[in-house]
Amino acid sequence: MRKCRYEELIDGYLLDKLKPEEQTDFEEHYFICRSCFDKMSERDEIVQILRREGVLSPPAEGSAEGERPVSWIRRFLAFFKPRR
Amino acid sequence: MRSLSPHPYNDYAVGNVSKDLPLDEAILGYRNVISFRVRKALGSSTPDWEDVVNEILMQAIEKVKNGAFRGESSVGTFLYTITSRRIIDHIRQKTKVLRHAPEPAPFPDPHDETEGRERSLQIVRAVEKLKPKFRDVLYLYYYKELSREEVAQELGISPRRVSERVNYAIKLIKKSVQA
Repeated sequence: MRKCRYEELIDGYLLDKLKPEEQTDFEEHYFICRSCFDKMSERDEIVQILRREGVLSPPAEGSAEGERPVSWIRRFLAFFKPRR
Repeated sequence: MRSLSPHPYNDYAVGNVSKDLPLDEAILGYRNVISFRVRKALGSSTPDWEDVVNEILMQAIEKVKNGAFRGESSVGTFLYTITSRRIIDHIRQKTKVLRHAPEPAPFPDPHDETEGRERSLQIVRAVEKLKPKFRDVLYLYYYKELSREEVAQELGISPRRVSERVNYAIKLIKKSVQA
């Protein structure tokens, strides 16, 4: 199924990050697009619960992937990767 | 995952009005969409948001009966216009009248509360099962409300990868809740 181009606005709408004209466009759109409305309300429910229940915590120290040591298996596989 | 927002976006939604479902029933099918829009605009802690939704539905049905809706636009667009106007009116009234008066808290329906609680627990369990790389991205993006680019910088990955992880994490949560 083709993705509706408005789907990209769902997160921005839920997080109040859209420009006023984008927000109005998207609000008008979800009154006529069932797919976008369903996706948005599903995501909204999850986001509300994530915020309310405090189930998430800050990333552990050094969790940035650039800082993680490269595992031996990745180094091994990288050896066979064609170099550009 | 069960559909959280069933509503009949049927042929009315593309502007055809002479279909099997009576128009007033089709309008009532938009309750979830209108409720979402009203709650988002007024805040779900506003006790009278449900009254506003009912007023919008009544007003729309009234307009249909009076022949004010002729099917030139889709029912969705027609309802969107009524909803937006009603929200603006409600905000105007509220700012005029008793700005400092405390609002009575609504009485929650115990059945809805239990169901909602169970659902929250299912989602919490699903989140706890996620790998840290997915939880980290959800925390920064939805909880801390960082932009995609800021999350990318924080985690040392590309913005595109951030979107992929957010979408995949949501997909995993939905799958886990469905199971």
